[in-house]
Amino acid sequence: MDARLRRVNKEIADCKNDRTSNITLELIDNSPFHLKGSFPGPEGTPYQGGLFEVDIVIPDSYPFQPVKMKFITKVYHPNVSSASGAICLDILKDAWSPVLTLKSTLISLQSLLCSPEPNDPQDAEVAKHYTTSKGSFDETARYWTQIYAGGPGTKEVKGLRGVKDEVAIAGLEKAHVDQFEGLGFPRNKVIDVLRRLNYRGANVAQISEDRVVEELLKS
Amino acid sequence: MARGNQIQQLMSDVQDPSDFPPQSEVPGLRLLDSSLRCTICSEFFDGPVTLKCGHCFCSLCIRESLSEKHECPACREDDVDIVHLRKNPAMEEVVNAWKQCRSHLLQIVNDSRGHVDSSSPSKKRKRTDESRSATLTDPSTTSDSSTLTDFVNCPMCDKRVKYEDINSHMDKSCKDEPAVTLPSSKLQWDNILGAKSQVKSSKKRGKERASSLEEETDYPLPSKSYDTLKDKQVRELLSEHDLPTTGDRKTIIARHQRWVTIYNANLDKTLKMRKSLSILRRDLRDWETQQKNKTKHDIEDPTAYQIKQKSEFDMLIEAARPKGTPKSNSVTSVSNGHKVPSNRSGSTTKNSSPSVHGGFVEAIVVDSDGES
Repeated sequence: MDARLRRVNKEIADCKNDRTSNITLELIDNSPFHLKGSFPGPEGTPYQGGLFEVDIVIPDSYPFQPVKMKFITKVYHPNVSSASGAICLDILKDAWSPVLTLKSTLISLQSLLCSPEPNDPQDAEVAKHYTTSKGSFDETARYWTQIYAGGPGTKEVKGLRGVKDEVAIAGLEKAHVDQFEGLGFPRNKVIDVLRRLNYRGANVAQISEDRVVEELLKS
Repeated sequence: MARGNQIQQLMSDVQDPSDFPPQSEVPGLRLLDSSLRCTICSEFFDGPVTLKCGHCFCSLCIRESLSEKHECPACREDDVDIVHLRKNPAMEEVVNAWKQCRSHLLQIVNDSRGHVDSSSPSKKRKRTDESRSATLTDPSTTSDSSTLTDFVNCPMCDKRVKYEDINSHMDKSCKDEPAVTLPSSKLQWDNILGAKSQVKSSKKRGKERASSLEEETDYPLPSKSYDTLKDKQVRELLSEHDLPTTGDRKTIIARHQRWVTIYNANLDKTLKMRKSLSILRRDLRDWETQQKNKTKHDIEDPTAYQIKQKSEFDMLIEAARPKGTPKSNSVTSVSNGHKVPSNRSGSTTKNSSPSVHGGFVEAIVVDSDGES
């Protein structure tokens, strides 16, 4: 058994034995080098109450090369791509050190959620949202936590909030929603599709209207 | 559930600090076990070396790490190089002793815990644990703990008297001789002297071995700048150490680099712990087969590859075309394996037949639809 497998085994065991950190690891397929990690959203942040899942791939030269991690759960955060889940964090790139473990890296991700770094963004649109209006950003992040990470109050939000709010909280432009609603699609469907396509900011230019309509017809 | 079982299987043969009870139950043992482990490989230190900053790692681990980045993995101190490594024989000795007593100690701890759970109070258990583990390691601690716990100062004459004898001592108006302590202190001296003589003999053995091994060179191999060397010269370097000289330039350079690393890491161990050259050669061979399994073979000419594999691609496309058919295992595994070359050919070559390429992309899409 090679050193990499031995170390990964120990790390999985370590996570399993540690009940205080609330971090879990499980296998995705039969390989111990492709895992799914999860951690609870940090308290006192818009991510509180959600459970965030991370796709973990352990490279051949681990632990001398960093693990590859990306969010499976959609996260509204300046340093996480809202479309792909790619993460901008130094220790996952050039600041990796072989003494870091899967657990410590997942804890770092958890603390990344606590302290966003909008000056070194992964998702420029989200970062812009964060710097221009923190309050509205928090609301969207909370909404995403509820929708995607199973955060608390999912039902109340849908019942209580007005339609206009829903557009803003989903991080969409009212004009865009109106545009497709004008084509005769129901409003909630438009919001749903646009959110799924991540129809915001620079993405708008990349996603053709035909594509949106196509999706709307499909759903 | 099946996944849970797999993890259980993986974990079954893992030895780690959590084998010991937590800090709250038996203080220190778990911590001791984890602090004798290298933070890179999480095994016990194997040929421990210390950096400028004082952090300690297995020689082989830190050499591999330094080849990636010149900093201490623990504190990120800059400009650390292989020349800064210093052997840490004291640590090596501790690790060896710990490895020897670990399973024994684990058994004692588990036994006493089981015993405690059924009957006796926890305070007593802790004491027996301490004294037992102390006898295993150091004679001086034993005497310490026994003076602390078994002896009391007589309230009348202030003499140190064994706890169980204190009543009879006072009954006799402090007139009994301190005969109780004498034999025990003599015993302590015997213990200490005995222990010392043991150390001496083991040292001697080490020296004898040293002299017998002195023919083997004790100097680390210099690292070479391979760019200035021709293939033939690299092969000569390999044959100097009776290593295989087969393979292309990349292979033989990698082989020689690895040999230098494991050879020098081996020198960081104390003489009696070193591996023989033939075992090192076997390690190198194992490492090479591992590397071969790990590296995916690069496709140098995507167009040629595509033409050569055309029948297989066509088969895959055919298999994937009817939507909604249950995908067979062979289809998914092969298509995953070929995903990369097909992407590449799309970006680099234009003369690749479009039907194959387009069809293949479609095949992937259909496949992923089936999964979702």
